[in-house]
Amino acid sequence: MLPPALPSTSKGEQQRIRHTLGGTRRNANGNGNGMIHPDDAIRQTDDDASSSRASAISLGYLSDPFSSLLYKPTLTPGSGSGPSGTRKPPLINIGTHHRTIGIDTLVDSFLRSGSDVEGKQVVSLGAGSDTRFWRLMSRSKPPNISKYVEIDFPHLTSPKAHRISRSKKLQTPLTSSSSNSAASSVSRDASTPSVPYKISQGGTRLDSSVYTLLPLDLRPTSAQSIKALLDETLLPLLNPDLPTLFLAECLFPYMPSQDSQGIINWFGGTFDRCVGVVYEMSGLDDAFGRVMKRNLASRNLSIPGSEPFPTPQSQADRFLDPSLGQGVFAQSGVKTLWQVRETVIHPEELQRISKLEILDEIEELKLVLDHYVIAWGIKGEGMQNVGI
Amino acid sequence: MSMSSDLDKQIAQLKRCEIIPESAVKELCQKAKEILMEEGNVQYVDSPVTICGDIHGQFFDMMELFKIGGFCPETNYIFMGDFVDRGFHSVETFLLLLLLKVRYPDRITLIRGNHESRQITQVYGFYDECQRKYGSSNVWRYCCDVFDYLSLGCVVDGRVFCVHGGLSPQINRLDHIRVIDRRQEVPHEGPMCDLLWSDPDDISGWGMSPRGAGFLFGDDVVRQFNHENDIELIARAHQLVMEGYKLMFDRKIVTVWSAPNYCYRCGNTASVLELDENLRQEYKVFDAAPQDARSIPQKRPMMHEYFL
Repeated sequence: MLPPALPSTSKGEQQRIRHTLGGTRRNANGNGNGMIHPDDAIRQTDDDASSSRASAISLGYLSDPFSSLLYKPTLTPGSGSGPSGTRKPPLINIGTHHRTIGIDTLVDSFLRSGSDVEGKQVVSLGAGSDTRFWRLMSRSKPPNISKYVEIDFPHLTSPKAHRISRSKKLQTPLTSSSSNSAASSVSRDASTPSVPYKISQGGTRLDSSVYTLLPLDLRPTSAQSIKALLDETLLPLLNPDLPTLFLAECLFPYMPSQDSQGIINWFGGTFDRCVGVVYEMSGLDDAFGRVMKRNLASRNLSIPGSEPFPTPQSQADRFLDPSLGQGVFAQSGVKTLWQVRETVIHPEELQRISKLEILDEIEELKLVLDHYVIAWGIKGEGMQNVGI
Repeated sequence: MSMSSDLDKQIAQLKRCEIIPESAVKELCQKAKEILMEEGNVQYVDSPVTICGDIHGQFFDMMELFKIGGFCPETNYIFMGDFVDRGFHSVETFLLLLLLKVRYPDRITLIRGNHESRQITQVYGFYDECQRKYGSSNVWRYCCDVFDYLSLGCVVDGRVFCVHGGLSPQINRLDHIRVIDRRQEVPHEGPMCDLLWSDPDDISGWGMSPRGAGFLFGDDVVRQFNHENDIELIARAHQLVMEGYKLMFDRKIVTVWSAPNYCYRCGNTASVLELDENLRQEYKVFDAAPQDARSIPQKRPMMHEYFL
C-alpha cells in the first residue's frame, strides 16, 4: 500500500497529514510479523539527524543534492519567523559536518581497499533518510558496489520507498551497478525493465539489482534470535564472499548491548572480509553524559546500549570482544569527532566552514564532540588499511 | 508614582520571570542609555564587589546566583557580559539586569560581552526570543542600542581588571582602551573586538584564535600587562570551565563562568568571585536551579540538541 499523494496545502497542514498517515501506516502494518515497535521516540531521532543535515546543507557546510528529495523538514516549534528559520545552531551544523566527513572518509577507505574488480557490499542499519547511497553512486566515477542495503523501521522505509518511486533522480542509480565498470552507468539494453525496482510488503520495501530498502526491526523477539532474523531477511540479499561493510549510526545506544554485539557477531561471522562502522555517543559517565541521559529521558529516549562503553577505546574494543567467537574482528580503531576535526578533516575545509557561521565557543564544541565517536572493526584479506 | 517605585514594581515582576510591556522596555532602554553614556570605556568600581561571568539567558540559574551571592543592592555586582543568547530567557535576564542598573546605577556594573552584538544575537537566539515574546523585533532593537553603550571593562580599586574576553595586541595600557569609540556594533577586528573575544592560552606571546575573532595570549603577555598597569588580577569570562572558575598563569588571570549546566547540556558547575574590601578572593560555586524550580518553556528552540 502506497500512501496517497499529499494534497497541496500549507506546511503546517501537511505536517498534520503526515503524522496521520504515519499512524495509519503503523496500524495497517501492525498485523504483520511483529516487526513494528511502538517506539516513536527512537524513530524521531531520524528527524534529528535529517533536520541537522538539511540545516548543514542549506548553510553550505555539506553539499547533497539528494537530501531534499529524501527528507522533508518538519518545522521546529518556535523557530518560525526569525532569520534563523529551520537552521540549527552552529555547533550542531559543525558536528553534522564532521560526522559526515568522518564516516564518508572511512567508507571511502573501505571502497578503495582490496581489489577493484569484485564488487563490495554495504549494509546501513537504521539508515533513516540517509543519502549516502545516492551520493556515492552519483560520483563521476562511482564505486564498484554490488549491493547496498538500507534497513530501518517500516515506519521510515515506507516514506523513503515512496519518495524513491516518485523521483527519477533517485531511481537512476538503482540499477547502474558499476560492476561492469567501464560500460556501466549510461548503457541500457532493451531488456532493462522500464521500472528498475519493485516495491513490496505494503509499500515498505524496495528492491532493485543494486539497492534494497529493507523494513526491519533489528531487536530480537522471544521467537527469533538476531542471528535467525538476519539469516532469514538479510543474508539472501548478500554474497558472503564479497567484502562487506556495515554501518550503525546512532543505532546501538537504543538497544541492549547483547543485541548490538549480536549484530556485530553476525556480520563478523558471516563475512570473511568485513568492516564494521559504529557512530554514536560515548563516555557518558561524566557530568556531560549524565545531563545527556537526563535530557534524552525527557524526550522518552533511553540509551541502555551506551552503558557498557564508557570510553572511546571501549567502542573500538567492542569489535575485539572474545565473546564474539567466530565473529570477532582482527583490528579496530576509534576517533572522537573532535579527533576527526583535528586529524581527518583538511585544514582548508575547516577554514572554509569557519567562514560560514560565527562559532562562539570552542570549549563547548570540544566538550560535545569529545562525546561522539566513530569506531571501526576490520577483518579479512585486503581490509588491513581501512580506517581513518 | 515615583520612578523608583515604578522600577521596583518592574523588578518584582521580572524576578518572577514575567516580561514587561514593550513600551516599558523602550523607556527602560532609554534611561539605561543615559546612565551608561556617562560611564567610561573602563569603569571604576570600588570593592567589595561580586564578579560574575556569562549568564546566557539562564534566568533561573541567575536567580540561584543571587541566592548564593545576595541580591542587588545588598551586594555590589559586576557582570562581565554575555547576558543573552542560548538560554531560554535572554529577554528576562537582560531586562532584570538593566532594571537593576537603572535602579541602582552605582551598585551594579554591566560590561559588554561578545554576544551583546546584533550579528551574534541573530545566530544564537536572542533575536528569535524577542520576536517570539513580543511579536516583533522592536525589543531586540532597543536592547541592541543599549549594548552599544556598555562599558568594555572595569577596574576594581585600580587593581583588578575585569573584561569579557581578554587582552589585545593593540592595548598595552588601560589608557589605550579609554580612547576607543565604543558606541558601535562589535567590530570584526581591532582592539574592541579583541577585548570581547580573546582567550588566555598556554602559549607565549600572541596566537591565532580558533574562534576566528580575537587572539590567544600567553603567560608573558598577562605578566607584562599586569605589571605595566599595576594590576594584580585579570578577571574575565567568555570560556566554559567545567569547575566554574579557573585560575591561570600563577593566579594572574581567572576565568569566571556563571552559567551552570550551560545550554542545559554541558553538566558544568558555575561560580562567582567575591572580592572583599581587601580584594581577597572567594570563589562561590553553584549548580543549576532544580528542574522543577524553572518553568519549562513550551517551545525549546536550539536546546537539548544532540547528534542522534
